[in-house]
Amino acid sequence: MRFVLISALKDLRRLRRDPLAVGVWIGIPVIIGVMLTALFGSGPSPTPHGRLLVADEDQTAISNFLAGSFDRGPMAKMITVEQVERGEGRRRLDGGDGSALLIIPKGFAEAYLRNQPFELSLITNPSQQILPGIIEETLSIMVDLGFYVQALAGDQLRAFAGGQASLSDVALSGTIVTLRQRFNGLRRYVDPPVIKLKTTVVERKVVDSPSFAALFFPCLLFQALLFVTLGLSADVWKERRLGTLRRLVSTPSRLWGLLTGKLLSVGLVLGAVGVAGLVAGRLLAGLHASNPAAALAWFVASGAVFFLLMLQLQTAASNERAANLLTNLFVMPLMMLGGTFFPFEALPKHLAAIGRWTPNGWLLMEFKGILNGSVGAGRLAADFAIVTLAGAALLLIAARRVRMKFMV
Amino acid sequence: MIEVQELRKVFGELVAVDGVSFTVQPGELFGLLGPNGAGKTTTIGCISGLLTPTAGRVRVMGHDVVRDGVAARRALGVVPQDIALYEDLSASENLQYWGGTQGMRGAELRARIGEVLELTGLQDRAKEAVKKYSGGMKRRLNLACGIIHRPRVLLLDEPTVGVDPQSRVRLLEMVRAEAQAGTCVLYTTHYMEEAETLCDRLAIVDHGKIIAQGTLAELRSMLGQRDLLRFTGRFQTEAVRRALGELEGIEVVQAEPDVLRLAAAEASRRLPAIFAALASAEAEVRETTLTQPSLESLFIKLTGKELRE
Repeated sequence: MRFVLISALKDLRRLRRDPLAVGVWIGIPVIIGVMLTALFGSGPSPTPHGRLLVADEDQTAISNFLAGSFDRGPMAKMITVEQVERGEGRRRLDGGDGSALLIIPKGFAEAYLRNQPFELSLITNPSQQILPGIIEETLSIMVDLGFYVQALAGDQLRAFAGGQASLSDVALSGTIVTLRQRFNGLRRYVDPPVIKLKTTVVERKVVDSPSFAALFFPCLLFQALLFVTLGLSADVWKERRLGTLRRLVSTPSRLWGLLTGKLLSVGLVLGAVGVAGLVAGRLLAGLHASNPAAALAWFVASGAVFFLLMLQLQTAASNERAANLLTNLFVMPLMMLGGTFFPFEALPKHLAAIGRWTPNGWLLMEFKGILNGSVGAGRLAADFAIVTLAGAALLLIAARRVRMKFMV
Repeated sequence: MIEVQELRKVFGELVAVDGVSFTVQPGELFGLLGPNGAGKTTTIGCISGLLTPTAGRVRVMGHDVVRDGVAARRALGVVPQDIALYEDLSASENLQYWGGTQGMRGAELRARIGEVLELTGLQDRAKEAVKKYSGGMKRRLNLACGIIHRPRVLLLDEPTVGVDPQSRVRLLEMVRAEAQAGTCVLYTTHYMEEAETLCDRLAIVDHGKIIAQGTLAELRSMLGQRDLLRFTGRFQTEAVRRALGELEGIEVVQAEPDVLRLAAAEASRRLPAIFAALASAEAEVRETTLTQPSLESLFIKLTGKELRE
């Protein structure tokens, strides 16, 4: 056991003397991450927001009320109302600036109060699909509402409109009393209503759409994992070149101790990468880890298995150059297919289905599951058992192959 | 001590070591002398556990290297022919690691690292990465890593190859010191001078076999204090043999169309007679070399070729 620590310490010291290699392994995913974040943003997806251009040529209280109705309540979160001239509004809409242009021609209030036909114009932006639809629907409701208000209290409204300034307290009280009588008259239809509307509020399922960076962060961590394990596994060739493996044979220390020491150093490096990655993910991309310790342990275990897998390839090759080629040929397609370069969510379904069965694909899926809390304790234990067994088997095979090929 | 009995190692159809036997006692410096490919490194490989013997038996301090390998290796220190160091680590770190592989730790290891660095003259550059060292410094560190744990048996496989004269002297002093401290040292080389000045006993190896074994004095006596004469030119081998056969006390060691080697006592005084005989055999001599009795001349006498051929 002591030799395992000595061996790990030796490898970590050697790694410290080669900061460029470590920089490349970690730097590539970091650069990719920075580029992706710069391209797609790091925050959560914003609520869609539209701009309604209003050419109010009537400039009355009623036309103001109509245009302002978009600027109040929940609509205000989605739509900003901007007053414009008709020509300017048309130009801006033709240039794609705005979701729709509402034109309220002069005489709108007069026509409304007199219950005369009148036409409002709404011109929508064809390059937007949802927001112009919302504006159109809202406006349609407003027009319907206006019709009913007109039908119920047209006389009173006309009185207001005709003599707002000279309306006495007595006249105002009379108008209110009349309005009350009108509404009371409707009560027999409305209260209790002949038609009942049963409203069921469906609990809104909150699905936070993850940001692009949050979606990519686990992938970037696994990219780093693949690069680190690829680089560190190649060290077995370097040790062969240096003659240190052969020299070890003449000591009482065993090969499995050396390999386990290498595994330990890989684990420590990946542990540091994992901690840094999870912290950076939290700070930069809002990545939430429901069980950070388990996620970190899984990340390290995944790296250990991958290191041993790479070691099989390194020892299968006839020379160092062939080993380099072979491991790259193995890693690059796995990276593309296994959700490490492109997340499964961005892959075509059939490719994602294949990718989930690749070693890194499965390890990454479980990692994401641990991060978002969808992997329970039982499954987590089973996962770790699988990884431990696979790792032990791979270690035995690697030790045999290194002994046969590298130490004679 | 090292006990090698009828050691044989075969690689496919190649017999690298063929029935080699020798014993090295504690405090003794035993040399294996032979040309490249003679089987010296293979013999070391079998003793150190790197290779499994095809036949025969090797024991280190009483432990069979095959059956009781770990115990045998605890007593062993090996200095391989090719430098085997972590070049990106410093001398101290290398010594710490190789000491660790032998089970050393803590204050004992630290103290020994200091001793060995002083012994090798590397203490001033102990913290520097080995890749910045000269070839001689690397060789010295290579030896230091082999003796860090004070082995009772030390195997040195051509440790001075490619080393500058100063480093060579230092290395040989270190090896001598190890033997004087009671270590059983097995030293392979193809440098005659090294073997002559360093080793208490020697075995001359060629084609996987020991062709002569003993102390330097014993080996020299095999030559009978005769000088070795080497002629190059054009020779009719049969005619030359006949002509020289008429001269008393002259032995033809090698007769080839372009090279002729003779062993003769007081050869310098007999040169006129030898030249006359060669002239009578219509030999054309271009160059003549006279060598005093040495391991080199013994090797030539035993194998009919020079050690570096």
